[in-house]
Amino acid sequence: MTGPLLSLRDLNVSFGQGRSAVHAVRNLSFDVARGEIVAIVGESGSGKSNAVLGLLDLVRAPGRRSVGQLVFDGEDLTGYGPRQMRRIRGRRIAMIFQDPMTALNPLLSVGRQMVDLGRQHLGLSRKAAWARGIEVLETVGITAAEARMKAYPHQLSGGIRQRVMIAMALICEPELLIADEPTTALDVTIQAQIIELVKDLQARLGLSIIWITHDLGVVAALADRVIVMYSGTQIEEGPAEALFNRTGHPYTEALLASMPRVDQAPDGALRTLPQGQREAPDGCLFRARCSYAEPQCAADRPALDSLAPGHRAACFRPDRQRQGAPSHG
Amino acid sequence: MAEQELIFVQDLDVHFDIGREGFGKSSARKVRAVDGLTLKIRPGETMGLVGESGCGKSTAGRAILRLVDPTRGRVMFDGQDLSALGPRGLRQMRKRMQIVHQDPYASLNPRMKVKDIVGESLIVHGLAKGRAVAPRVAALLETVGLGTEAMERYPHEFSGGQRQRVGIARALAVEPDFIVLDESISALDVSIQAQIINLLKDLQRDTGVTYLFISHDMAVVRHMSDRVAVMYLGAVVEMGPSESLYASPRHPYTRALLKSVPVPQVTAAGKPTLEGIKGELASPMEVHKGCRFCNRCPLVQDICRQSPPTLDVVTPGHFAACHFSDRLATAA
Ligand SMILES: Nc1ncnc2c1ncn2[C@@H]1O[C@H](COP(=O)(O)OP(=O)(O)OP(=O)(O)O)[C@@H](O)[C@H]1O
Ligand SMILES: Nc1ncnc2c1ncn2[C@@H]1O[C@H](COP(=O)(O)OP(=O)(O)OP(=O)(O)O)[C@@H](O)[C@H]1O
Ligand code: SF4
Ligand SMILES: [Mg+2]
Ligand SMILES: [Mg+2]
Repeated sequence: MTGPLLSLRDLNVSFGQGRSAVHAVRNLSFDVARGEIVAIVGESGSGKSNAVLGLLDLVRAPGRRSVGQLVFDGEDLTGYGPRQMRRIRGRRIAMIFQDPMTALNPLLSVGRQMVDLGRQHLGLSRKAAWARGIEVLETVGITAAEARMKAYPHQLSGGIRQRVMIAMALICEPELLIADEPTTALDVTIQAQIIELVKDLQARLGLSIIWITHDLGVVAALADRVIVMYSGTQIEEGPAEALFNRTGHPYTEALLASMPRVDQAPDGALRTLPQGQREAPDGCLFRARCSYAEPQCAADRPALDSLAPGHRAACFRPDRQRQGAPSHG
Repeated sequence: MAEQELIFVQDLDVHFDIGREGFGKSSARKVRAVDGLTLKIRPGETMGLVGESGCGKSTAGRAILRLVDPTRGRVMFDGQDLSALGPRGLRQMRKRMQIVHQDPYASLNPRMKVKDIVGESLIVHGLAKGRAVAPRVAALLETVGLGTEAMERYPHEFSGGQRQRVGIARALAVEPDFIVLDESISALDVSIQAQIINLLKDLQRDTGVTYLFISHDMAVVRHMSDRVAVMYLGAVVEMGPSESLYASPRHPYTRALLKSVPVPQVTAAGKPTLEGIKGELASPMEVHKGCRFCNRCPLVQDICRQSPPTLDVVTPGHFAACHFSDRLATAA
């Protein structure tokens, strides 16, 4: 077992043609190591959902997806068609979607849905699939699993429903779990339970996880590594500790500074991102809103360059903090 | 505190009947959305109101504005009992109180231009008419950081953050003394949230307006509020100055809430563990003999199941409803 579990190069997802085309994801490239939790973070519309939909070849028409290279557990999936991808999805890579109610069938009991999955993906008998369903419900900390199997999705609280989603994803013992904002709609106490559950699953099952969120707090609690997206582009990537403490991109820095903190007394006004073109047509995408922009930023587009081992940022001045940041306000 | 409060909510209940239970039982089922709420809000302050989904925050806000009728108890606004006012008196009072909702899109008429949405408020309350309306609207839009070109546009032509500014401009049009902000910025991206938070604080500094700031985001509430009330199952379980409540919470529920919030910070020691709390969200349909938090509380003792704790002073101005709030006095 050498090399990363997943290796993705140059994923692109776009909608529309020509001048009006929306580049939802541009040249996204990253690896996921075995047993690693990678967070993808960014604001609404930055391309997080399309990044993983593209990865799994689930982008719906009229969207278009292309990928330079996709290797999973040593198997090159780059040229795989829909049928071959379907063999990988669900079984070896499981996905939890942004809205649990769209993923759970409201008309079928939890148990029925578990049994269908077990039979379809694992070829289990009805009875064995039922037993496997109970087992995964217990794995995610659901008590009275028998009773929960008989329940319908609407009879479950949001937190239990999310646990059921995770349990269903675990049925086939996937190596990689991808979750799109799975706790955003939950109360903070329930979110905390799910985060601790996921960390526990990683430790117990050696699961690799891609976790999408817009909340840097969740990133800190969960992620080993972080990818920050802005307007379809990966603008920073690195180990969580490096990203929070030696932030490389001004956008990441601005995101952190604009968050009010629960653990600190307020200290004047929050820092805000300057208004400005979300996406500059040339040079650095972010330059119209960047407080550090220089002439070079208008001339060239910065590449995702290495700052330290495993830490990369798409900025010409990733070391600017050390030269003194401009005043906040 | 000699200062007269602007709002005094006294032992307020709002119960909803939601039909009868099946299986032959004939008792009507009740949701105790607000259940014995007492709260004072001082002029010019921001009172934060937090608590989990379904604990009654929105219902409390609506009852304070008398958008929903209380089952019991009363709301005093600037010394006047709102339930004693007739329709006309209430209309006069309404001019002084406004609400901004979570979803600005749903609360703005999609077929009206922004100038009419904001202007309507001025006209309805007799604050401007005819040619005087447009310049007032332009000034209001400027106050909330939108240009006058916004006047001719429709709600769908704006981003979420801009629409929320339109909602705030409309609320400001009547120069209210009091605004209920019900999850007004919860759906926005953090960078936009930060702009609106700064805007709300600036407006308060300039006009002295009073806010009831309802949110489930503990971090945003700390930043916004002078004082904070924590609700659980329809009632306040802890209330106090923001600083004291966040630095030393004295109710186990508040403490659990604070320990559940992930902080955007990673130390070399690795990921922090979220202590949180066990159990699912509570149901507002149960009746409580003892403490309403007792079946999720890590400190629970027999007395908690027998008798309800009252909201008592723990330090000056800081109250908690827990039999064992002393035990949290030293715990971080
Ligand atoms: N069917 C579509 N047609 C055109 N554009 C689309 C379509 N779906 C997505 N987009 C665009 O692609 C971009 C990325 O969308 P995506 O849903 O991946 O963002 P996201 O980061 O997941 O956002 P959120 O946090 O709101 O879920 C957005 O600009 C969006 O408007
Ligand atoms: N008109 C109504 N009829 C019946 N039940 C209602 C009504 N309005 C609210 N409720 C119930 O009252 C309880 C409190 O609701 P409320 O909306 O005040 O909670 P909240 O604290 O604002 O929650 P959230 O954080 O989810 O907005 C909930 O159980 C809700 O379902
Ligand atoms: S009164 Fe008892 S049950 Fe209620 S919060 Fe305090 S310790 Fe917990
Ligand atoms: Mg998304
Ligand atoms: Mg509400």
